[in-house]
Amino acid sequence: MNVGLPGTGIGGLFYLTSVVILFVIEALKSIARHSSAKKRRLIFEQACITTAMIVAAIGVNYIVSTFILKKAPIAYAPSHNPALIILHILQSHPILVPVILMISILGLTQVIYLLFMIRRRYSQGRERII
Amino acid sequence: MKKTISHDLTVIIPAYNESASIVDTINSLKQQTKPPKRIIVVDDFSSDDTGKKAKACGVEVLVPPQNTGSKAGAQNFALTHITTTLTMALDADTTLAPDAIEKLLAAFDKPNVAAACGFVIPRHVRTLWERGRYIEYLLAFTFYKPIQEYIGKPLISSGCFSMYQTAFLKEHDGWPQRTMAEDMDLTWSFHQKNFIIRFIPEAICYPIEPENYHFMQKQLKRWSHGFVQNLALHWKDVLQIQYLNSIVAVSAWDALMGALLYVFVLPLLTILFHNPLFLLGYFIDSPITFVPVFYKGLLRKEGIMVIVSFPCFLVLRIVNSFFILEAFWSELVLRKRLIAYEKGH
Repeated sequence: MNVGLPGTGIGGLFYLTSVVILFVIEALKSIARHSSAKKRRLIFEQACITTAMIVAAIGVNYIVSTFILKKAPIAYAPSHNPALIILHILQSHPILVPVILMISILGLTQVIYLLFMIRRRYSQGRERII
Repeated sequence: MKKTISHDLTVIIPAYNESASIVDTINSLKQQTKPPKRIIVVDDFSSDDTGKKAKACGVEVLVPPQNTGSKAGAQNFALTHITTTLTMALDADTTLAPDAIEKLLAAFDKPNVAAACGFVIPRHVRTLWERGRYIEYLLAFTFYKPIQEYIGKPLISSGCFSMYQTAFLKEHDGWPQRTMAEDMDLTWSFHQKNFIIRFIPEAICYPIEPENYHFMQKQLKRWSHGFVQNLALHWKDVLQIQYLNSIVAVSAWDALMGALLYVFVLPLLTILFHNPLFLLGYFIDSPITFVPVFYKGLLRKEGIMVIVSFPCFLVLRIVNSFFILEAFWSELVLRKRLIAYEKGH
């Protein structure tokens, strides 16, 4: 089954990022000779797909920011409104919105994970004392 | 060449009014490079001649004392009769590539491999709904699932075609019936016990997908409610499993936020600002999602089919949004659980 809305938001970005990280890990494992041919093939194939997807994402980002959002020229004078500068950056690089969202969601997940781990260790520690 | 019988494998086929497809399913099992030792069809009180056709194919047919009410119930009824080391669940409308079982068997090379699943491709790709599902599967099984497999955390061992260690299944009292998505529930439970779940892309199955909106909406409703029910049931445990917690978090976020965006935000922005450019949001990611799908389509010599079917995926995605929102609203806000299991074809 495939629930959810594939390709809609941060999910795709999450997997793209995962492949980039896993490619680096697999490369290091290959150097240390801890890698298997099957895993190297899998990561290489995914890396090729990811590269093509990133190129497509850059293309979409360029087209949207240049022809659709038509970002207004703005001078980066020190006295200028920071909100306008942020808006300009987001208009130039709309991909930053899902990137920031993804980092926030994953960050929150890890914080909750750590809280659970700390609570589990605390209750295990109390049980040992009792 | 004499085929090796897989003495250690029983296939369970739960069936309710599947007379149109049951013979094809059984034949695809018999034509496997490694046929199973036993094939058990659970005729779940069908009103057609599913049981008769299955018996005519020479397989065991079990009939429970009353309709079990769900696929999981039918599978659990058969599980009590199984003595082989491995058990496979196969939907009655699903056929297999000739080497599918052989490929899946190879996944059980370690003692704590609890389940293995394969690649799913719709058997028929003709209508808008089948085409949309075709692209959905190509995307998920080409891009998402191999990465989940690399990390060792496949999100779901697909209910239509999966193989399990019988002992682990029985320890778990079989397929759980507490949600509409028993495959997701079982997979996440196995992850909690640190069992290994494998995804084997070379093992291919071909289910019949809903061909019209009437059946598609039943399946979408069941899957959406199943997802939300599993989130509610497993969220605390899943949060404690690294990487799986991230996969589930982004999936849940995309499901809810993506649905809100499609159903409310984009139409409202278009109307409020009188600017049709907001409608670009429905397909702005198409160049990106097209890449893995087209790649797999080329490998399968189905490039043209992918190009023609891709717009149908965009339509299915929008339709899916309504069902996901309804599921979140119904299950979490109204506390109204979906409990009636309705088939998708």
